[in-house]
Amino acid sequence: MSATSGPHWERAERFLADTDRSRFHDGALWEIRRRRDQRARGLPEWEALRALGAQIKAHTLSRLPEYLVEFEANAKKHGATVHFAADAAEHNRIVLGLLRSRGVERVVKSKSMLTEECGLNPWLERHGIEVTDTDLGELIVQLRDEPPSHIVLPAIHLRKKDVADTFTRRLGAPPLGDAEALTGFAREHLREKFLAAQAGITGVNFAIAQTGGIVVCTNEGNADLGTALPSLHIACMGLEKLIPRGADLGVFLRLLARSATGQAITVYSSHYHGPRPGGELHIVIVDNGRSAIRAEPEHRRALACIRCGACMNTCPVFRRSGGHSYSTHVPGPIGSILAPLRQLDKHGSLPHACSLCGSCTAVCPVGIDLHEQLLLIRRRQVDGARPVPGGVRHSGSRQRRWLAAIASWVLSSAARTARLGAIARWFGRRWPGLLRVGPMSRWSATRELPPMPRQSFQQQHAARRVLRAGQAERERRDERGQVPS
Amino acid sequence: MSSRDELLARLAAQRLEPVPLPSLEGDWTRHADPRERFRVALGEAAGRVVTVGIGASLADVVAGLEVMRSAVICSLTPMCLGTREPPLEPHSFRDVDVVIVAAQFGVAENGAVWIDGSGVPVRAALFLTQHLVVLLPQGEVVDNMHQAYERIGASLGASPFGCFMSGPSKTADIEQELVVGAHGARSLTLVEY
Amino acid sequence: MAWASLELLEAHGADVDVPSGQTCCGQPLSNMGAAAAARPLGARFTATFSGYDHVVCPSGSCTAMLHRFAAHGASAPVPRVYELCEFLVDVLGVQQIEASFPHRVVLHQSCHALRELGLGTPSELGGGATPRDNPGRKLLAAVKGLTLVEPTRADECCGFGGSFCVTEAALSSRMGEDRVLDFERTGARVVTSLDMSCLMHLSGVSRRQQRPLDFMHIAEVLRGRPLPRPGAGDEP
Repeated sequence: MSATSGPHWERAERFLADTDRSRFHDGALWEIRRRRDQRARGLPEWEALRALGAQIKAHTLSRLPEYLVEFEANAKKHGATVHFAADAAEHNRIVLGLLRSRGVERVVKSKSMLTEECGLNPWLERHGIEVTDTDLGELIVQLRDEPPSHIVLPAIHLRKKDVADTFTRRLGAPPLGDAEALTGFAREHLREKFLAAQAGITGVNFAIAQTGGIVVCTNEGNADLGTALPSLHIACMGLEKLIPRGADLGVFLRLLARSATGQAITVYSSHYHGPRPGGELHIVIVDNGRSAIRAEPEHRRALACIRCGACMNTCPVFRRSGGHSYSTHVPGPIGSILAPLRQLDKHGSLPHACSLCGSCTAVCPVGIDLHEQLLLIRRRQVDGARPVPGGVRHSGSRQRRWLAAIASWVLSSAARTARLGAIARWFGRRWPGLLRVGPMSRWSATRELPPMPRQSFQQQHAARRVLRAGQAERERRDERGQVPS
Repeated sequence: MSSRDELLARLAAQRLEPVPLPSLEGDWTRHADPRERFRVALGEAAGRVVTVGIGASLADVVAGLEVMRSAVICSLTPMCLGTREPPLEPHSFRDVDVVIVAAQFGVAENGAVWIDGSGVPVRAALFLTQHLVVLLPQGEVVDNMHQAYERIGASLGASPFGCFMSGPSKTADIEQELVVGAHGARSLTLVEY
Repeated sequence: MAWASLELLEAHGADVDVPSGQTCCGQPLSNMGAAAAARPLGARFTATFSGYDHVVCPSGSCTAMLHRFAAHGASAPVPRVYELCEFLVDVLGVQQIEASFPHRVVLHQSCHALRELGLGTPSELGGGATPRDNPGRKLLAAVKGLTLVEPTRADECCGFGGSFCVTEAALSSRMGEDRVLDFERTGARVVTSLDMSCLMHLSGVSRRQQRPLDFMHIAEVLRGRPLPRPGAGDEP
C-alpha cells in the first residue's frame, strides 16, 4: 500500500527501488505506446485528425454555455434528468440523494475519473451504500484499498501475484496462476454484483449537444451491464466532455482507442439517449474548478483532454514512477497540469516531475501542448498568476525569485560568469570531492562528474586570436620587408 | 440562484475568442476492399467471421455454428430460430448461452458493427449472454467512422440505445495479458449473409 | 566540442568569430519558471551577437532557448540562431565530410533538437506528419568508416532535463541508465548527440557503471577525433 502524500520525487524513488516492478511497468507502458505508434502511422490522416480534435474541442469550449443549454434541452426531450453540480461536494450530495430516494443500497460503478476526483466511493460507503467498481482493474485496486494508478489501466502497477493474493485475501479465491483464471474468477464474482445491483453509475466519454445523448466506451462491457440490469442509471461528467454534433464522434472515436491502447476502437461504444423503457437516466454535470481553468487563456486548452492516457504511456517519468507517485486522481502529464492549477502548493512537485522532453505533446490526440503548460505552471510557482477574472489565483515564491535574480545577475556579466566558471573549474580539478556534497550530491550519487578543463573555451579562443593576430602581423612585416623600400 | 444558473452565468461572463466549428470533410481513408478489411479488423478484435455462401441458407449456417450446440439460444431476429423466447426481464438473460442479433452495418477500419437498439427490446441480451451471434448483410460495410455517422444520420437518438460493438468483451488489466471474455460476451461470431 | 565545432565551420568556409561578451542563454532559469530573470540574458545575447550574418550554436537545447527569445518579442531584432548541424547542411550546404571515424556510432536524438527545433521527425508523429530532414544523421552518413546503429527506443529522453537531474535524481539516473543500456545493446562503441548536456549526463551514468561506451559530441565525430578511451571497449 502506498502513502497518499509526499512529493513526487520521494515517491518515485520508492517506486524505482523495486527494480523488477518499475522495469516491468516501464516496459508494459512502452509497449502500449508502441502499439499506438503503429496505429498512428497506419492512418495517413492521423495528424489531421489530431488537429480536428483540437479544434472541435476549442470551439466547444468557446461556446460552452450555449452547448450546455442545448445538451440539457435535448437530453430532457429523451426523458433524462440533468443536474448541475458546482463542486465535488454537491456532486456527491446529488448522487447520494438520488440513491437514497429510491432506496438503493447496492451500486455498480464503471470507470469514471470524475467520481474519483469527487471521492464518491468513500462518501457513498460512509452513508451505508455498497459500491462495486466493475472495471476489472478498478475492482482489483478497490479490493486493495488503493486508488487506480492509471486512468485507463488502473492496475498496471500490479503483478499477477498481487492480484491473485488480493482475490484470495478479499474474495476467498483459490490460488490462481494465470490472467485468464483470475479474470474468469472476477467475471463470476462481478456477475453476481451486476445482477444484485439496484443502480448503475457510469462516467461519460462524450456528451452530444445536438442530440442530448451520452457515449460510454469500454472493452469489458461493464458499463453496459451496469446500466442494462438495474433500472437507475446515473451518468457523471465534467462539463468539458461536451461535443457539438453526433458526427464529431467520428473524429473522437477514431482518436480515442488508438491513443489509449493501440486498438482501432473499444469493444463497446454505447450511445445512450434517455433512459431505457421503465428506467431512469440522471446526468450530473460537474464544474469543480473547470470553469476557473476555462477563464485562463493559456491553460484552458488543457480542458480538451479526452482522458485517453497516451501522455502517461509515453512519459518517461510516468513509466518509471507509476501513477501513485502523483498523489492525484488523474496522474501523468495532464494530471501534473490540472492538479496544480487547482492547488498549486499541494501539488507543487508535479510540474517538476518532468524533463520537458515534449513526447506527451506529440502524442496528445487533441493537441494539448502539455510540456509547455507544465513550464507555464513552473512560472506560476515563481511569479504567481496574473489575476484573470474568474481564473485561478496563485501567489509565487519570493525565495525562488531572489535565487533567480542572483543567477541572472551573475550571468548578465561576462566577467562575473567567467569568474564563476574559473572557480568551478578550479574546484573541479583540485577538490572534486567538494562537488559531491550538498545539492551536487544528487548528481554524483549515480553519475561521474565531467572532467574540468584548465581554461574555458573563450579563454582558449581569445588566446588563439592573439596568437593569430601576432602571426598575421609578422607575415605583413615579412612581406613589407621583402619589398625594396 | 441554482448551481446551474450560477455556472451558466459565470461561463457566459468569460468572453472567449470565437473558434470556428471545423468541417468534417476530409480525405478519409477508403479501402480497396472494405469487406475484407472489415473481416481482418474483426479478427484482430478476436471476433469470428463466417460467410453464408451462394445457395446456402442463413438459418442453416447459423444452426451449424459450434456455439449453437449450447442449450439456451434466444434470437432477437426473425431470420433465425432460438430454443427459447427472449425474456422480457433483463435479469432473465443470466441463463442464456447464445443471443442472435441483427446488426445494421459494419465499419471496415475497426471491425465494429452498429447495433441499433430498436431491434433489441431488452439490451441486457447483448451483454449478459455468454455468446453473441451477429448477423450482417453482406456489402453493408462502410469504410470509416465518418461514413458510419453519416449513415446513422438523424436516427442517432431515435432509440434510447445504440452500440458500436467490435468483437467479444476483453480485458488486459492483469499484467497486460489479453483475456477474451471479460464481463460481456465471451465470443462474437459474425455471420455475413 | 567547441574547438571541433569551430574547426568544422572554418573547414567549410565560414568566417567564425567567438564574441567574448557571451555568457549563458538562460535556459536553466527559464526552465525553473524564472522567465523574468532569463530575459536580461536574452537582451545580452542580442547585444553580443547583433551585427553578424549568422549565429551558430553547437547545442540543440541552447538554440531552442534562443529561439524562444525571438518568439516572445524581444525589444530588438534577435539574430537567427542555427544549431551547428542545421547550419552546416542548410546554410553551408555541406555534403561531404573530410573525416574518418571507423567506429560503430549510435545517435542520441536530444529532445530539444528533435521535438523543439524540428531537426528530424519524432517517432510519436503519425500519418500525415510533414517529414523533416535530420541534419545530424545526414552528416554522420557522410563520415568515412562510420557505421550508424539504431537503438530500440528511437528518441526517448536521456533524463537530464536541467534541474530535473537534481530534483528527481533517482528518476533522472534510471532514465540515463536505461538509455545507456539500450545503446550498449546496439553494439555501438560511441554515443553521439547534438547536445552536450545529454552526453554529460549519459556519460556520467555510464562511467559510474563502468560501461564500455564513449560519448562524443557530434562535432568531434565529424572532425574524426580519436576516442577518449581507446582501450575501453571492444569493437566487433
